[in-house]
Amino acid sequence: MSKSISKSLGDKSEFPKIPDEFLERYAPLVDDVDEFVGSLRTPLAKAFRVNPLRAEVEATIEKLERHGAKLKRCEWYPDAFVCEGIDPNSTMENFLGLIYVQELTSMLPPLVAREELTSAGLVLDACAAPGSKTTQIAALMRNEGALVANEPNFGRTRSLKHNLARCGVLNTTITNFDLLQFPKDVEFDVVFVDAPCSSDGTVRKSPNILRTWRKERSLKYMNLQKQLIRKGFELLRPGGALVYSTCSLSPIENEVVVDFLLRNFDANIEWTPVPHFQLTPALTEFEGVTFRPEVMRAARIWPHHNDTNGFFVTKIRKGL
Amino acid sequence: MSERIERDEVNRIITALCERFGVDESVFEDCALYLGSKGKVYLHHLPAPEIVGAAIVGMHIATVAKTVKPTTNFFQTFGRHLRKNVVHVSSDVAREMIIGQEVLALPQDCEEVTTGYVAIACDGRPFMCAFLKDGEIRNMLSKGRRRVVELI
Ligand SMILES: C[S@@+](CC[C@H](N)C(=O)[O-])C[C@H]1O[C@@H](n2cnc3c(N)ncnc32)[C@H](O)[C@@H]1O
Repeated sequence: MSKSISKSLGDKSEFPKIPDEFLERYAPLVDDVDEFVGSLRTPLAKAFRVNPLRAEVEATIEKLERHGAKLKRCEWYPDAFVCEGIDPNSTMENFLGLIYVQELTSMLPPLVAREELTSAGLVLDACAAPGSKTTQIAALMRNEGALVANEPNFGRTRSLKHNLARCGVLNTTITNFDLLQFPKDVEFDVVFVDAPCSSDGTVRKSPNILRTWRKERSLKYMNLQKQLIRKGFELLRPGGALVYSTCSLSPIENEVVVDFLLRNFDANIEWTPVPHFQLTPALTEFEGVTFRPEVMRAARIWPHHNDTNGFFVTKIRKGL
Repeated sequence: MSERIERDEVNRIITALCERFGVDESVFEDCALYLGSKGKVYLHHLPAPEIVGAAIVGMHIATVAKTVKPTTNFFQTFGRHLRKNVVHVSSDVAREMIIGQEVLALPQDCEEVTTGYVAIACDGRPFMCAFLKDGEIRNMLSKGRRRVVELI
């Protein structure tokens, strides 16, 4: 391990030690290990997006600045802002759903399907609670068409329901299926599978993840993720688009899952550039396993590239 | 599970809300209403999908029993269309009501406000539902929605 890494591991007492196994896994995958480790140790500023179903951007920003907010607009998504100086959660704008407090990377899945969403008739958000992406998807659909927000966990459905109402969403139906049991009698234009995952891309928000991090955990999630991506894909109409995402850095939960889909179905990955935001092509091999070459059209987001959490997102088109 | 509400009943609910709050009925032209448990009425923009096993279709906008009781969602969503039965309060009063202050005396300068459900507004924007009776406003914000909103 380089001197600078070990130094950065030792000098902030409240930050947990980064497990050696974690570094062994991820250091070989990043372009700059020191920057990667340094960013993990830097807490993430709060971010939000203005909800166009409820609010007009400039007026909302003006009001928040009067509250004392120091805001930085994201070049890659003009509705999104990084917020310092106040807690956006405790504002009237948040209470009224004029803004939605959400991590920046979590805004990517709806954005990469923005074009499809403007004309989609029927969309499924397959793993929806608490609704960060559902509310954004509804906004990108301009509250038109029909959106199904599926969430099997009843406790989490409560916050989903609350967030949909708070954001003025009027085009959404909530279902409570285990996705694997979702009825096959409808076909969707777009399906989002924001899969349950080990969440190790969110260390900057929840450093305690490092205290119990085990690389084996990804294997447990991978089995479910493969089933979810397959079922999500089956629910698409021919030519429809599936967006798969996780907040995990692990290739086992990302590239391996996408590779599984490509090998078994008539599926094509589309590279989804986001202007002014650095995406890294996904891996083509990991621990001796070679993936289908198209897997590299999926996108990894490393925390040190855009000052965000780590993330993985890809858009996959179903053959006609 | 929700069930789509028949046209006559939809008209009755919409008319009750529109009459009470001075809303133009055309605002609800492109909407379908659904009935959930305990008289809860949900609103979905058309076209409404037919999804087997749907738990909730659209937004909870009212509850029907003897009367039609609007929800806070209704006011937050359609607030800009309201023309009467809106009580305007200061930021400080708004903060207290959102935390959960149960009763408020009706401010002196309120016009076009009569006994029954009212919208409470701050800065021109309705933010919650309340009930006015005998000069007293009773907080109808559900417990789960009450919170500390420091910056108003
Ligand atoms: C990463 S979270 C989703 C976050 C959400 N998309 C958002 O942006 O607010 C994953 C969700 O998948 C749900 N989930 C777990 N198993 C599932 C299954 N078998 N079918 C559908 N959803 C599932 C979890 O309860 C959890 O709410």
